[in-house]
Amino acid sequence: MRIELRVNGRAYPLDVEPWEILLYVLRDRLRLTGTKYGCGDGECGACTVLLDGKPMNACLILACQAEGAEVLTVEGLVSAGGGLHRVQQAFADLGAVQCGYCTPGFIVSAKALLDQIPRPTRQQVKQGLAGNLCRCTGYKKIFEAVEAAILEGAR
Amino acid sequence: MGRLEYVRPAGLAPALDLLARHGGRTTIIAGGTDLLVQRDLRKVEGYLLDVGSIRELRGIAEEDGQIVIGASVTHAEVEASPLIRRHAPTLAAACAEVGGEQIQNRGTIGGNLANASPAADSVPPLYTLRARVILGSREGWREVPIPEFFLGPGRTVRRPTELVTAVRFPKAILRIAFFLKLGQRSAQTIAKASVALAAAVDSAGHLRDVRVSLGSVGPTVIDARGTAAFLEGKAPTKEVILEAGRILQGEARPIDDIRSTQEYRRELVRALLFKGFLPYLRG
Amino acid sequence: MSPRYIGRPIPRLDARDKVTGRQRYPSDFYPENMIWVKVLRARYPHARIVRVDTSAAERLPGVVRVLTAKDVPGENRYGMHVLDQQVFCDQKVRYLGDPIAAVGAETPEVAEDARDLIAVEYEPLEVLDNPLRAMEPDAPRVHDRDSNVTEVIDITKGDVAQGFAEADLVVEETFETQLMEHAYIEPEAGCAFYDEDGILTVVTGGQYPQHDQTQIARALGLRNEEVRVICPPPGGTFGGKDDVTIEIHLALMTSLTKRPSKICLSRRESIVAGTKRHPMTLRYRMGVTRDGRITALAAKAVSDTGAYLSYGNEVMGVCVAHLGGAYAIPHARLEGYTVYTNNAIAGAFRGFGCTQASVGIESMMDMVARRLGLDPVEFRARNCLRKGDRTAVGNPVVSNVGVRELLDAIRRNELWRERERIKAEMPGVPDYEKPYRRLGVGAAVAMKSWGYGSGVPDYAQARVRLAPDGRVQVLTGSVEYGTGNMTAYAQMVAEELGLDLEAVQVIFGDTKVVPDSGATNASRAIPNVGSAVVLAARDLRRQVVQVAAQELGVEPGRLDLVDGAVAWDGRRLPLADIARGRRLEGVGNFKAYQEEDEVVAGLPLSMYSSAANIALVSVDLLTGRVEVPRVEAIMDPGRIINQQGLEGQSEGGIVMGMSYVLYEHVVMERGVFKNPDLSTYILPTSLDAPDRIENSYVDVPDDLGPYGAKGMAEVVMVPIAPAILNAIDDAIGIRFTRLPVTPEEVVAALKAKGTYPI
Repeated sequence: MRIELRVNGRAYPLDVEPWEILLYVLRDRLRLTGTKYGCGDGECGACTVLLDGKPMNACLILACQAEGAEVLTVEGLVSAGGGLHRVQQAFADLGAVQCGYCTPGFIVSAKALLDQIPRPTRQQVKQGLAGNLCRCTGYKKIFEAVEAAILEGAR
Repeated sequence: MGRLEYVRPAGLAPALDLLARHGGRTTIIAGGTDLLVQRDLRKVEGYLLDVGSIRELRGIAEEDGQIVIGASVTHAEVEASPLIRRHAPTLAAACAEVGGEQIQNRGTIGGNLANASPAADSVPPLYTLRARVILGSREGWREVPIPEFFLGPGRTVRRPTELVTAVRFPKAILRIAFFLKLGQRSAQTIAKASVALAAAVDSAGHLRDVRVSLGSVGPTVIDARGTAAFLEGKAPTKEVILEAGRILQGEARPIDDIRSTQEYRRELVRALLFKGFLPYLRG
Repeated sequence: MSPRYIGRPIPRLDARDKVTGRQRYPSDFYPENMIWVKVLRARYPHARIVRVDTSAAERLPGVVRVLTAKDVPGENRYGMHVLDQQVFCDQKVRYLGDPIAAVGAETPEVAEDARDLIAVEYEPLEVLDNPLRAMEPDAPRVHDRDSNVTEVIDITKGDVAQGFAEADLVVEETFETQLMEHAYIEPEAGCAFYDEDGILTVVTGGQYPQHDQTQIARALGLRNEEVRVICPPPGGTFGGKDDVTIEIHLALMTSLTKRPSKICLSRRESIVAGTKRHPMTLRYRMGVTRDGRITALAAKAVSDTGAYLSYGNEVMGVCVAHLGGAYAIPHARLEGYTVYTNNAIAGAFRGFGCTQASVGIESMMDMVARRLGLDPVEFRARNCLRKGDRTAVGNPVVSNVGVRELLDAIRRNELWRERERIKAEMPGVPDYEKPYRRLGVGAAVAMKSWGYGSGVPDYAQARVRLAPDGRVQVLTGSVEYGTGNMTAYAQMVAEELGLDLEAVQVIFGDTKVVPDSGATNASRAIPNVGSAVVLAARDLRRQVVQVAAQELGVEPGRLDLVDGAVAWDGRRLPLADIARGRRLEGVGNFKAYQEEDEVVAGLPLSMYSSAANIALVSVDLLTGRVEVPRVEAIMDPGRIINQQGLEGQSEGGIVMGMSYVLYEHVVMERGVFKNPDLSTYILPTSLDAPDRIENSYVDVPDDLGPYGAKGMAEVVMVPIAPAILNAIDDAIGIRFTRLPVTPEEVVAALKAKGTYPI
């Protein structure tokens, strides 16, 4: 079937099968490989994208279901001039990244969290990121990076 | 391999039309957070009916002293709704326990009901709210009290021509209400067991209008009527609650699986009931 | 002059690429005109293969090629040391991950459908799912050899009978650890293609490109230089991507179809096919005097290495070397048995046998201290090892280990000093819940070897090259799998050559361009590969100074390297000028310390780092759930190269170790995986991690690593598991000896003890 996906502000006309999963369309067809496969079951959050501003697992969305929605991936967070989003900058500066494979999912989730709750408590940060698994960092520096991004946003 | 046709109507009428004509060959998808884990749609033929855009299934409203939640309302929307937080705080709390943010933003109340998992977090509170599931078809509407809606794991009374359109429950003043769940970790977890309880308290401090339900310890969520009857009219003392816990254990029908054991789950329902009452214990 | 880069909390050099999604991981390569590969694996954990029929699969439109054992042109075998695995099984399958065939097709869906069309006829055999059964003489053999026991280590030091005779108290206990999955977030993935020079190239998330190259070449009947392996940063490894999984399949598919190929394992396949942490049974017997001196230790470990050996014997070698922990024990008998079964393959996993041994020895230390009525830290201090002592197996401790300093730091730590008050106050717990909750505090220390020890040559080469623009390239065979070693190498080179960090480019993990630095494992990337990098940088510096001195007619001794230039008497000659028309390259060849005399154990280890943890646990007596709200991580890192990186290792290690002791367990029944997905294989979320992890350090420099640095990546996850076990015992008076400690186990134990509160 013919659909038009809107990803990071750009329209992509595509022919897809009804069963095609958004994650693989983003990766294998649009080559937006910042969105990662980790489990395919909605457990790890490595494939987190924003659909109309809300974080969701791209592994549990059909491509055709995403038609009509605004999809934002980690690639779409960088400004046209190459400037990093404050969450990206804080992750980079504060050691919230190790292998970095889970990082795009965390950054997308954290951006959505701060859009929704501009000054979350530590507990709210933890809850907002509970759908993303990290095996390297032990999460501490991720929390600290999100909190640093709060301060940056408040300035 | 056969063909699968994706249909996403904006209104209810075309959806019910499709079900009336091809209900037996139609797979319904809402958020997809259960369906896409359970099934490979490549192996499915017929129609794939996406109910996510049907405007009649959206929204939470108050009608004649009843709260009505449209089937395509997400867990996140339930959790954030002031109406639900005021009148059904345990339902809001339970929806906050479903998966992570990503699942809560995607999964729907209707989907959670229709998928009929005994571990669905939103369901035990709906039992204690005496909710009724609304099923629509081209022939009309019918309402099913929630305990009668479920037949077993993955099985409900929904006919192939019907769609779960909403769930509704009466507002009630319930002083004591809790939903407690224990899974294998703190979030993103399927319950080993969960307990939902709601009760009013009369002027003498006795429990009234008690409702208790159990998740993950039977083929469906369990309406623990024996326990509720025992608690009715009693003050929640430690002894009473511990005795109620023993009755509750008798009402649970747990099994061994990869997440826990029958033995532990039986213990856990009593522990969760007791834990839930801890802030309210008397004497 | 104070260092400009060493010891500074420099953000990772790859951070920008990783936060923007631009970093290309092994799963992110899509070579032009590629085919997708899916692998058919065994249906039974142990079975004879009667017949394989691929004809239906080959007929499916879109299928390019189906491979089976008969297509392997070279040797159909591989393995880490013992080549006991087959590229494709032809006679027999030994576990559910065993590959039988691979399909290359135009789309992943066609490849998958074709894989399902391959018909295999099996003759099931008895499944060996228990190492004790596998050790019995009448047990069927997993491999065609006399016994399922792959190696026996049996070391006696001193006079064990005498040691126990001197003891006033003998304590015995048996510990059981479980099969643990690495659960890197990126499952094994990669691709193969012919590069611009026509060389067969494999991109994979491996840990040792040259070893992968050798294994691929052997199976394909090629010379090593006919194969190129590129290891971009993978999405985590923790030891689990050291072994070959997809690499030979990719190379073979591309070499036979002349088309690029790509594999991305599903999570399920990754869990089934990949290696794990060895489950072990550890039997301990310790003798002590009344005043707290250990007189004797008898310890025996049995490990289940699964269907193939991988690093099984080496893991056991390290385990046995650490059975006595960080303590001086005069008389010891230490045994290790590694056994084949039809379970998952166990191999390298962060801690590498020391993790399991520490669960045993550090639990024993608390148990014995309690029986003696001694403070557990004091008991440890009375027996702890120092530089120059010999470990329980008899190997000398060559490193300047800070175990005593760590023990002193535990005693000074607020959580330890104030533990009784904190336990009584239960901060943050509502009053009505306090009768049903117990807090406990436990500590543990660990000393973990780095590098391979004297049994195995441990060498690393690095090159540092002056580029024409005056910038500097560092070339190492190391891999950057998240630990920050590349940033550390850049810091080292910038420091040595007086450069801005931005002027240093680190090139790694590509057999075509980098030297052999050995594997990125065994906590050796900083101390050993780092030493090679420093040597190479100093070699280049010497060459630069020599050239400049000649050119300028200045005494070499008067020249310095500052800010990208040779400087003397306030004048500067930019490095770019020196680079012009010259190829200057420094080479660093580092050979790790090797013990010459009295080589005792199979892996005589002598270089160590150490760490201590204090854990606060909170036990819900009603549900049996154990939480870890606070951990104090005290480390003995020697000179810190990059504090941000070290803290990250520590925090990640603690959460991984916490999860080892409380959550994780690859459950197998009769060789079948019961939880091969991330819904049922439980990893901790952000809400499970401790609320507080505080890092602190003792200052005990060492001269074996660069600038006095020690290898820390593994030891930081080791003491937390026994620290939590000790804390649980402190909280509820129950000693758990089997991992993981689930709520089910806690409630059962409370009931057995009669202390379940309701």
